[in-house]
Amino acid sequence: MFKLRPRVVAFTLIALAAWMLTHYSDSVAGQVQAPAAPHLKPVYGGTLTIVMPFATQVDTNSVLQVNLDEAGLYFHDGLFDWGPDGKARPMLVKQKLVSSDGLTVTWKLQPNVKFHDGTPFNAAAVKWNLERKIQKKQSPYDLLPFKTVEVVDELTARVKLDRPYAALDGVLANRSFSMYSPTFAQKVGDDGLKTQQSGAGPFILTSFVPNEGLRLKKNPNYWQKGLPYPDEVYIRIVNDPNTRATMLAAGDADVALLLSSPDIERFKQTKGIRVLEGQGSQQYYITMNTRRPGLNDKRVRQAFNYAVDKEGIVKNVYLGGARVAQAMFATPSLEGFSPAGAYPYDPEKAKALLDEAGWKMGPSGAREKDGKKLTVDMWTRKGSTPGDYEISELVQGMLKAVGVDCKLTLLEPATFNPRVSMPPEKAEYDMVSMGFNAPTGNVDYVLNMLYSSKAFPPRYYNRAYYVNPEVDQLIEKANHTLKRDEQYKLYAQVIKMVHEEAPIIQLVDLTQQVAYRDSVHGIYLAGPANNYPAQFAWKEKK
Amino acid sequence: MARYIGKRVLISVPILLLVVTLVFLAFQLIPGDPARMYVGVDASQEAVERVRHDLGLDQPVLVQYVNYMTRLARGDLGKSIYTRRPVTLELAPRFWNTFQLSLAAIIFATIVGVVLGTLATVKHGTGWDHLLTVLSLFGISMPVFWLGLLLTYLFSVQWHLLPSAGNESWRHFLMPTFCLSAFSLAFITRMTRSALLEVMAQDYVRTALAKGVREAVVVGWHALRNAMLPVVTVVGLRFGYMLGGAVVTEEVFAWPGLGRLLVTAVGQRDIPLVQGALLLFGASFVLVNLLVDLLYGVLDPRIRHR
Repeated sequence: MFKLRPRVVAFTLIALAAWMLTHYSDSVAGQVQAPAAPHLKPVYGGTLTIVMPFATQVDTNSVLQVNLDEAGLYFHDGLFDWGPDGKARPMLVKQKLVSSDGLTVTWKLQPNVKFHDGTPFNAAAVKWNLERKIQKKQSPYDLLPFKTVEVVDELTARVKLDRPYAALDGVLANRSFSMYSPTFAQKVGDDGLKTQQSGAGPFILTSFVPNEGLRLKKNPNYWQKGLPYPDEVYIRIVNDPNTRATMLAAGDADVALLLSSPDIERFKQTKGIRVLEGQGSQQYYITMNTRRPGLNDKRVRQAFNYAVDKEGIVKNVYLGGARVAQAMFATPSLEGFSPAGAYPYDPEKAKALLDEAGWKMGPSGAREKDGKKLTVDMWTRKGSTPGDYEISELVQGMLKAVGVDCKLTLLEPATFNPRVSMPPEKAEYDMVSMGFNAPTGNVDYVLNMLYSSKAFPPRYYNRAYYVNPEVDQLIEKANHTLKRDEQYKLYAQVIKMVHEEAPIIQLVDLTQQVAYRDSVHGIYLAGPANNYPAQFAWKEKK
Repeated sequence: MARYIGKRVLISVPILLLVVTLVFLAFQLIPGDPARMYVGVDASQEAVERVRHDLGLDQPVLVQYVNYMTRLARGDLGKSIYTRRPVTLELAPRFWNTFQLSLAAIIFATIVGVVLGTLATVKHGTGWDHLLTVLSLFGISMPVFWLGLLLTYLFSVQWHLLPSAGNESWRHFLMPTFCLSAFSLAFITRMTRSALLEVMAQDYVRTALAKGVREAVVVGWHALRNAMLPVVTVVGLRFGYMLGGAVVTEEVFAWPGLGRLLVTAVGQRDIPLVQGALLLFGASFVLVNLLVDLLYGVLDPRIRHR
């Protein structure tokens, strides 16, 4: 009889391990993506499972946060919605009328809409929701330049604005401006809304467990006839990107959000999985505090821009999943965008500019002026935006290469957030490495929140404390220009000026990517919001 | 006995109070702003101030501390900043999930570990002993996240045998249990082996063997029982740690346990939730230690009578 021997067992184990390793690499390489399915007829039923990180509450209107916004798509409808073309389109608003001075906007609302709790949706509900957002100061309430919200009749609402505001539809297309059932919200109170919701969306939220998931069932009375398709949606909250990828690969999830670049590249080659990519409004950049010695000189800031190899970042950090940015903060998907170009990677030019600014190479290998070293402290996080720490390290190295002594300070988000939201006199950083997105889908946001000298933190996000009276004037002028093409010309002018003065190191626009099983149809990328609406998607029966 | 238990429980009260106070102080000392965390980095200052006021964080530290302690004395752990639900409600299901997983893992690790450790002792010096030594070294040094990824890759992605994440059925338990127990299993194996080897060298064992008692009886009954004391200590400690939440295992398998909750809460500065979780962690650790102490008495009558 065969006798079990330790040597045999050990050998078997080693053989098994070896097989596992080789097998793993085999399965990754050499597979071709399945051709896209021919246009199929939508199928009803089934459960759509989505995995994404992090939603600790479901009160979508309490704050604008990408993942919360994403979850809100399923149980809330907005007055407007982001379409696949990256433009805001009417949703609960049926028709929009704007007065000739652009200061009065009248909305005709969709009839026969009911919230999940049976409350009818009407102009009073619109007024209640918008006023609540403003009164409770729920971020970003300040994007609404509202004087008044009036109820004209049951299905007509009217808003009076402080200034003509082209970006209004885009603002309201974010689910941070969802339409809540007023009856329900008053019944459960502000605290109750953190875990329970009643909206007008295609699915009804049946249960929410923080950090675990949201369970939703089809809204049988949804106002858009024939929608939605699945019977249920399960949004699972899974923080670890590797686990999300594994769940998709194993078929335990239909859609996986926010995966790592290597996983996305792998899934492009994997049978049964598709990857959807496109331009969002997310840019990664490095702010320079223009009040700091050295950085207060335009030539130094330009030199820093020349010193950084953006193509290298695109290739090495994002494996191609990003593009070199063509304007400061603004991405091509924004309305009113016009490119200013990118600073080419030219270390020699950077050195020349630094020399010209008086920062000469010292004996220590770093540049000096009047006996002072050109030292900058760059703040960064790790894992808050894909690639954040890697980029910071690369930039540190590239700046060192032109003689800048760059120090890296790693902060965790809870510390980072308040410390980069300080008024100029309290700011402790020279540079901050971080990401940005424009949730309104309009360049207007970039101008007023990032370029304007009125936008210093803590109020807004001009973290460079950049001031240019001419830029301020042009922004003010653009804000009050009614004609779109004239306005866009002013935008273009401002974008060019700011680009030239370089308050930030302009780096990359991130490509938005989502991976999903090929049995899912109808998911799309909602440009500026950086999310992937699948609430009207359907799933093949297998 | 009852008096002993009562005394132990009483001692744990100041310990837990100290834990709570230290955590409270720590959150005052470390940088970070819960209100800013809630609204996000790109929110206006007014929005931040509003949230800060709603959370009562605009009050002096001492007032906040007194308020917290007063509520704690009434058994009220406060509300989570994010969900605004009582902390107890947030913790209970999480703790239950962690408890189930930890219990499964510690039982598995103990049974298999003791059996393998005994096997290694009996086969002392042979190839089996060496093989087990190598394997347990492997178990101790294998990073849990890597083991987890490897398991899910094989059993979920390649063979579609087990679900990759979650805790809905018994099948969901298999991989996380194995993962979580790997270290303890290896440790218990080593511990059993060394303790048992020591006991086997004792005179009474030699005597028993010399007078013809079967080896299985000598090892399995007389020696093993005496070798159990250090093993029980290790089992207790490991179990205590596991109840605190196996962060990595829970993260890899998306297991909705205490560890994941705690990590998220610390990152978000959800202070009431962190305090509640640490209080629970402290209490369960104290309780497990108490159980271990009592178990000593069962195993070794000399301890009982002291």
